[in-house]
Amino acid sequence: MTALPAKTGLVTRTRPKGAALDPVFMITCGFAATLLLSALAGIVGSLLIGGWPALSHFKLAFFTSSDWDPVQDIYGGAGPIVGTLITAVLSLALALPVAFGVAVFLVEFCPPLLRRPIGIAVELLAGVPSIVYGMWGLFIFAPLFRDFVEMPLITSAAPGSLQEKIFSGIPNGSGILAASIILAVMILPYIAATLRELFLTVPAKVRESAYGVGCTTMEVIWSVTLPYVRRSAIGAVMLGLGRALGETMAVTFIIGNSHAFPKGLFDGGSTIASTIANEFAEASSDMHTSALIALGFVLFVITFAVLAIARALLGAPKHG
Amino acid sequence: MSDSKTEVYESFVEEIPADTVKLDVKNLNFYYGKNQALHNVSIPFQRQSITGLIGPSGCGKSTLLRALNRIYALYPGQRAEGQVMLDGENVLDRGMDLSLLRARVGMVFQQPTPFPMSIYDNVAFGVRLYEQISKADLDQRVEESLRRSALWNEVKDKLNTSGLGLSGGQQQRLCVARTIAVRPEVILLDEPASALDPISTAKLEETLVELKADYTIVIVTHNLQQAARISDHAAFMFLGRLIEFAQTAKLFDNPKATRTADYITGRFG
Amino acid sequence: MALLDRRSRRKAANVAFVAFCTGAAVLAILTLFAILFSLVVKGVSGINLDIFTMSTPAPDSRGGLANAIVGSVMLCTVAMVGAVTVGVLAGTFLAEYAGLNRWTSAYASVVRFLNDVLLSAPSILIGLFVYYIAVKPVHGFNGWAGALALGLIAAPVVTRTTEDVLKLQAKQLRESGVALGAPMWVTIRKILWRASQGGIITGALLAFARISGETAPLLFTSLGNQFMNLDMTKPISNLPAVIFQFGLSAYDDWQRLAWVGALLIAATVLSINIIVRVLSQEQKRS
Repeated sequence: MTALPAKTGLVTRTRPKGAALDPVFMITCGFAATLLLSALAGIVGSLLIGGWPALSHFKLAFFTSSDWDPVQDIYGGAGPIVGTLITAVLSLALALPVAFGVAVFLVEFCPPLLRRPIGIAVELLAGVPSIVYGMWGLFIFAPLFRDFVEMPLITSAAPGSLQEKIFSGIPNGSGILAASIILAVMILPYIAATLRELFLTVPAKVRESAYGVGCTTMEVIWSVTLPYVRRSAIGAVMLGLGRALGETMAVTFIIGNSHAFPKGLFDGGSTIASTIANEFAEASSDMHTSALIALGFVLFVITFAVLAIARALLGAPKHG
Repeated sequence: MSDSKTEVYESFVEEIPADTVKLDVKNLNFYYGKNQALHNVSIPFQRQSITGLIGPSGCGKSTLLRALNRIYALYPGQRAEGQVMLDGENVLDRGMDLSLLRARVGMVFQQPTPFPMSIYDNVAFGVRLYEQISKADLDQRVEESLRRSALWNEVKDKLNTSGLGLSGGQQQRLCVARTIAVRPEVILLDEPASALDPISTAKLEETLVELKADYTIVIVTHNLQQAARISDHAAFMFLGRLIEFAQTAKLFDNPKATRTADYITGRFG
Repeated sequence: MALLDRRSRRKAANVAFVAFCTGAAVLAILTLFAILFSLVVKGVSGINLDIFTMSTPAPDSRGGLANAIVGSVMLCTVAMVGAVTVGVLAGTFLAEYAGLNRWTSAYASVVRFLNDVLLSAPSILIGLFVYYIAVKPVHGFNGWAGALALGLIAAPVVTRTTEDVLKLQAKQLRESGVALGAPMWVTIRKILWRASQGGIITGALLAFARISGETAPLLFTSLGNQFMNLDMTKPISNLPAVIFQFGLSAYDDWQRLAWVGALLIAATVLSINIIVRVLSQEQKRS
């Protein structure tokens, strides 16, 4: 190496440009964080303020009455509230077993060649906008559902039987059950993708040692994999439930949009989100608007509770 | 470690001529929150030479290094007391401008950390912070720094490609080049070779020995052979205390403290 | 004998289990393919040049989706500019400044939690909120309100990803910037953001995919517009709202347009997701 002249410390330096801007930048970042915080506060605040006239006017009846009558300006939200809960729970009950099966299939049985494509397909479908599911539900699913499920079940029911009660309603392809099925189809890829990720976190060693003592695949899943991921799995399912609760478009297309208390699974109904979507822009009076916002507030409280539980169960492993 | 308080720590510090001392640490205490990590450490670093800091993990050698450019100030709860005199100026003074201090006292880390930009920009990054110089001068500075860190021949044709594309050893020499481009007076190295293969390590060591003609170099190392090979002075630390500081040859051949002797003969650590 | 029985029962149960899982997978995949299939069949047949050149028609007349496509692009673009700005800064706060002292770290955990709530809050509620702050006060539906609603949906996604990728950067990368004497904010901007670029872009793309299909919050913010409109202070047409309106209508040609719109949105979202996948694969490789 060639000898180079000593070059140390003999330069004139100025303080780096913008050295004093450090606090400014930090405050800017903190301000952005505060914006998010105030957005959420704003949501809660506006829902509460906007919904207050209806809540204070109808009091408990808002939750117990299903009499929703814009003409006489009387609003009872029990129909949409119950509809929201029923469709969300039903859709979860339908989606969960299938999603579980898909996740187990992908992790345990799937031929390696298909594993990646199917896994990717499931994840991609989790991102398809809900309005697409709504369109499909209304135009493709509803007619099939009417002809092959509703009609046979209704016509075959004996008068006065349990079957008649459960499946009462107009066989037009839309209604509570149809909406729940569409919701289930929509949250299915989401839950399946999350469960699959969770299953993959189980160390191979743990699973292999269970296989090593002669467990069948089912036993490994039940007694090793599931207990290992139990908490996070429940959290993931709750997140799916949260999605189903707040979903608007997939439901609005097919639920039938009736504010009455649904009498049977084929009966038309409504959810909070579908009611707001249908009526808000054309609300007939201030009380109508307020009632819709009050419904929104109820929806917020329900989803917030579900999310808080999900988060408590999932923990926050990524953030120290 | 209940005995550490009662045990008397003998400290053997070899004098070096005052006019050759570049950086003089006096009675340095260092705290991570409530935990004291350095106890009354005093050690002189001679200019134009390499000082190696050795000792078992957790002995405080990295902590000492990190006090010298006050990088610890990034983390709330970490604080230093005492004096770190750089040419008669106390680095630990509240009024010390940290940016200008760090321009004078550069640092190279354990993991190579090239910035996500071109090789040229990596080297020019620090220079651009402090100096407004012409493109030609900057080109010259970049070339000079890369030459001195023995990287020029390997990268001169691809200065505009990403620094992340280099091998681990090259990345580490790029970090050295980036540090000396600012023309610091002191270079701190925190186990710079621990992530490198033997050949890259040898190249890096050669570079450091070349550089010591102009800089005061302080290197923390796990590797006793490395300290013996390249350093002029060596300091052995143990449990946050300086046990022995002497010329490297003396420290290794004829240690005064039994702990030093135990450590370098491999009895613990 | 009993032992054998037990074993064969276990085996039978397992066979049933395998059959169930495989059946579930087949069912799920068939359903999902059925959706894509009908989307493509119904959508592609309706695609022609008019779709991109003409505005939404009155029933029984010629028309396309041009105003809705342009509107959607405008709303999403404005929303993303805002969301990325706020999201990157907020994410930076959570990742880089939370540890500054006890107050910032407490504040950061509150923000982090509320950001997660916002992330999964029903989008229609965000629409209601925006109606209150950006529609009602000015007495009219407008494009800004729509963009604001979409931005509020996208921002938490960007915030979350930004925080996550910044935290993945090595501590020593941060320190090397500071060790050269660079101010923290220069280190963040020039080194950490650049090192996290790929991840942040991925997050932004995912957020974009999410809002490009959002319908509910637009229904009472941006509303819709039969005509081509580039003025953000007026109602702006957008694909999701058109799909909603036309899909639920009784007119065949409106329904046909709704299918085309749904196909366009789904294709956009799917291609963004695929791009994200390719991008993150490449990042892993380099």
